[in-house]
Amino acid sequence: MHRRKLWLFAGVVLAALALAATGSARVSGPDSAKSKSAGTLVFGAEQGGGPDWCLNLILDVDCNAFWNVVFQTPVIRGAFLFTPNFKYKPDLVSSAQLQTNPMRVTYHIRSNAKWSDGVAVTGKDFKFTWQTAINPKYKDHIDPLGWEDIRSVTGNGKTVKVVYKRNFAAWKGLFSYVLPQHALSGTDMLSVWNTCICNPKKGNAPIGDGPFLLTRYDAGSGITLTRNPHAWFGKRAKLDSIVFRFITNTNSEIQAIRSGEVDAIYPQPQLALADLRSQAGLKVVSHVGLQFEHIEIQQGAKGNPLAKQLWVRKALTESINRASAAKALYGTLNPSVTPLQSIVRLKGEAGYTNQFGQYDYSPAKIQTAMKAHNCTKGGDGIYTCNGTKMAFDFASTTGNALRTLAFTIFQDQASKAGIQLRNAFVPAGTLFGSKLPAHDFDLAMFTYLVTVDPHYNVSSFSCGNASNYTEYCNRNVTKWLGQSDRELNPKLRTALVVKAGKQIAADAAVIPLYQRPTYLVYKTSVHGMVDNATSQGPSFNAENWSKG
Amino acid sequence: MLTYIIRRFLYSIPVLIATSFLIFTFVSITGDPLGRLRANPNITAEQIHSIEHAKNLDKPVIIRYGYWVRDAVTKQFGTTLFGNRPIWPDLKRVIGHTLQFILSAIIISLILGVAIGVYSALRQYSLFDYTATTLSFIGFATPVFWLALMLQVLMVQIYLKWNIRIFYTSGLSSSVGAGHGFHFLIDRIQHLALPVIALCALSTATYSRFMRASMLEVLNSDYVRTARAKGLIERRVIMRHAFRNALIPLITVVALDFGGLFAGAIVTETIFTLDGMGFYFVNSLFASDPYPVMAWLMVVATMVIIFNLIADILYGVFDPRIRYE
Amino acid sequence: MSSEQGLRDELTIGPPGSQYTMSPAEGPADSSEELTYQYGLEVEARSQWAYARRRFFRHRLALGSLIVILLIFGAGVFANFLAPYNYDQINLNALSVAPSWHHLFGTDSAGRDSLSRVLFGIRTSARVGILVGVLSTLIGTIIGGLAGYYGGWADNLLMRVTDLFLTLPLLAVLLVAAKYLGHSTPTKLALLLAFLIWTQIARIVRGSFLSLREKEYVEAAKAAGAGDLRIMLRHMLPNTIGPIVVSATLTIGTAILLEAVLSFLGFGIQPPTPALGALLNEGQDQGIDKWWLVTFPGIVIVIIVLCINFIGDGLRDALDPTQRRVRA
Repeated sequence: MHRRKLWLFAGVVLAALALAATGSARVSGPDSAKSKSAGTLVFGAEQGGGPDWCLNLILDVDCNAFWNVVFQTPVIRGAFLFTPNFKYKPDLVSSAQLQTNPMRVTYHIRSNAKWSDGVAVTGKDFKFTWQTAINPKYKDHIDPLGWEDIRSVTGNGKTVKVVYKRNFAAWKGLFSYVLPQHALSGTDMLSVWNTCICNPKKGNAPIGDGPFLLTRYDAGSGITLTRNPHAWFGKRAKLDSIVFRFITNTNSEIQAIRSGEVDAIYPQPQLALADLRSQAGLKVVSHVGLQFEHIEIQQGAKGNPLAKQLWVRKALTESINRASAAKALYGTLNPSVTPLQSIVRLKGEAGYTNQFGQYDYSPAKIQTAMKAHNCTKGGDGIYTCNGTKMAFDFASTTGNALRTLAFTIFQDQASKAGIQLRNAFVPAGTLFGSKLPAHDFDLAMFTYLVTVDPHYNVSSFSCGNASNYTEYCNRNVTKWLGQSDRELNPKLRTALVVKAGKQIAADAAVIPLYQRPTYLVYKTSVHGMVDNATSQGPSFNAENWSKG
Repeated sequence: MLTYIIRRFLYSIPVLIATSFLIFTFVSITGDPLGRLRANPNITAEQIHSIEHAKNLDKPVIIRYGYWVRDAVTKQFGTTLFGNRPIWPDLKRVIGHTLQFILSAIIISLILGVAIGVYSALRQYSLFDYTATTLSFIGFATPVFWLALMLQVLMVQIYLKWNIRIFYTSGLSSSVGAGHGFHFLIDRIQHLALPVIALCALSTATYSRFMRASMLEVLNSDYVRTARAKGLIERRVIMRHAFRNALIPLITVVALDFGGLFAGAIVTETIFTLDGMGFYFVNSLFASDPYPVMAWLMVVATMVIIFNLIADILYGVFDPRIRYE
Repeated sequence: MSSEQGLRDELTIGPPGSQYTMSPAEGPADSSEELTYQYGLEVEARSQWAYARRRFFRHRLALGSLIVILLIFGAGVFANFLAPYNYDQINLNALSVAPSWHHLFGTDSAGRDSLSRVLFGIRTSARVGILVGVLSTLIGTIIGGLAGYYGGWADNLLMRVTDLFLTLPLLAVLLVAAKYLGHSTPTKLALLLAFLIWTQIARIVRGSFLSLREKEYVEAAKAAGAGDLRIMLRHMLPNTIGPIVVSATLTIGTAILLEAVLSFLGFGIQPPTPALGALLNEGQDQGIDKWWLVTFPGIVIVIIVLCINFIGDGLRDALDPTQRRVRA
């Protein structure tokens, strides 16, 4: 009798579980499992919602994460938008005129651009944004680059005049996030938009001037965007809502899209993604993006002293086979990834010229050069020159399988040329927070995520610049790059940058590796999604997304 | 009885205080939260000093401990070191999710463990016993995260082959935000099922082995022999005398296991990306922010102490011998 | 974890005869000696260890596990000779190949042979496990012994400290400490683990010494003027050896599991050093569809820990002469 009771008990438990499982299996077929409304798209977001995630994009030092831009592009618009073909497109403004001597920009805000509470977008919002950016209270939280070159912003209507003190070539990148003055004036930027994009003066009602409003922020779970019920200046959104679910684990992300729990993902390229190409019901789109991986060679005191010599840097560049590495790393993800041959311009941008093609993988040539410089080969196959071993500490970020793999390949290739690469991987926080700024490395491999604007080269390659981690210093290069920052003619500007790039390549200051591909995966039932390989991300046309 | 409860309760308090001190010193010593800032040459020494002073980091440990306790009690653990986010709202949210999941795991593994253990004891050396024992041993030897990974793969393969989704492989719910009603409950069960199964495996193995041993010991005891000798039917003997007495020591086992379940939660929440305490802990660790880590440890320690207190009291209720210790 | 202790008491899997264990103090052994003496057949008296060994070998599962563990650890130790490839040998022509004749366990994303990496991984994990087992036993025995012998405030202190350790989940404490360590070598990781899991053994030794303290032979030794250290080492320790050895063995298994979890979460041994947990971490990154990268290291971990648990069980049976399992 006791035995029967136990079995009965067990049976009840199993039955309950089975009921739950099968009951829901019936109710939730492959697609309706996600949500009740057919007009909701679930997008898996790789970052977001951690304990110190902040939403306010004006605080770009604190909050400037790629995914934040993806979440908010459909909500808060800016003067220009990056398009997938790497160009700026006027968005909030219908046009912008640039005049020189002194530099002036006249924006014409679209006549039908307005906030969701009916207030029109005007010059007041532009002025408020600029004043916030230069407010000394937020000095440590906002990068003043460009904002501090503005003398005045005038115009309370649809025409805004911005007058500059000095020429600032990257002006199109300013006002990419225009704040609503009527809602935020007098508030503390550091706390007002921490967990919502809303109007504190109207009981934290969501506010925005795009196709969607940010209606829910669940830290740790996700963000919900709901269609803006009021008209905005573009087409009405097709979807009722978009849910960005935070799935910060790559493996979970992949399982989620495979099992249909999310409709789209936009992961960092990982080897595990290759299998998604062959799965029915999923579409994979990959483009070479505006991120490039490169190796910086420390030429200052804290690096290997041999690196100060040009022939050593050239040898390092030629000791790795970039083509076979690209194939091994990205061949299964995006076969069109080839070695990047220019450091100042990327493939797909104007001015991309082959400047590093002169360096070919040739261990034999390197060994000859070593002997020519009186270097002796040690028992382990590594050369020593004038008492210093050809051994370099190779720093990069831990926890990234592709980087680890790349290092393994490079280490193997370099050893055949008589150069030793030692693993000096550290967590990302340590690399970007201390090692790089302190110039404490021999070789460092990491990614630059750049904008369409070539300004980033100025910081990286000018003598003595804070972001110049390698301590590379060439007076001509610094001169040309400095000029490019103030040159308002785009063609002349590009020419200056390319000239600097040629010299940098001749000096073998850094080794460009490859542009990282993007990887957009979505169900075949999703329409309208377009991959945008710039820092704008794929949500730039979220109003066109639809399902079914 | 009352004195027993009061005694246990009073005993817990110094343990709690000592634990809080231990937590604070341990976390403070094993990490310099400003380390990254210090190594960054763009930040001057004065800036670092002013940050230190503002956050009271330049005072001796005892005083900092005092500040931390004050914040913990009056300001609900205060704010994070970087970013000044209040800790308690986040912590409260994740505690709720994790408790749902851990308590389900405890209940299910208790039911299963007790059933399997008792039946193994009653049918010692039978095929069932051998099978259960072997499975338990395998359960002890299997890393929880590996089991979780295998379960994930299994679910995905089932979906791909037969187009039915039994359980979800990530997240807490299908739609973001709170929901109500039966449909939401089923959805939540479907999401939590795999993590619960992964956690249950180890706990069930533990409880069933212990139940078996306890039951065997009781079955061989004098009073059971007496009961049989008195002529009671076997079922009476087992249900009335053996089973209940064998169940009592299990309380201690469950109490001891409770802390271990949080460890299991850390791993499973990371794999299934559940918005729970374990995930919160790992993220705070990666962000090198000591205050959420300390708050987390404090909350867990408190829960363990409370749970142990309840277990002690229950033990006292069921086993009168303990009360008069 | 101390709950696991009590529940291993009743494992006997084998023919019913094997659970009759008799202590040398009673039972047929004596009588057979008397008999042989009577009949003039001398039998060499067996020592305690001989009886323990015989009991252990009767426990067939433990014996089998011992053989398996020796094989596995042996494979790890001789990995240099057994592994078909070097563990970091890249082969860009054989990326992520499924198990085949050339690569029995397949290859990973750099073309490195999985079997070789698992073999070297066994070596690293075994090293960590054994080091932790030895160290934590040492620490636990010393501290527990002192506390149990001297009693009083030392004992109280120990009990409070171990109580405190129990309120915090071990993994959480390990994670905080491991983060502090940063990039850790297997040896450093082993030291860290040893310093945090000695409490189990300490409690056992303390309990044993506490009860042994009251025994007559200890009193006699004290009366004879033996020093404290001599008493502890010569009289009490040998009688506690049984539980110590069992605990040490089980700790090895626990340590291997902990190393796996820590490396999996990214805090323990970092790639490219192969250790079983680190291999699982890498395998997970490369997509679970490359099932061979995650399955084989996992199975190896399960087998190792399983065998260690069986051996521990067998040791417990063998070394505790007072344990009797009689069928009711």
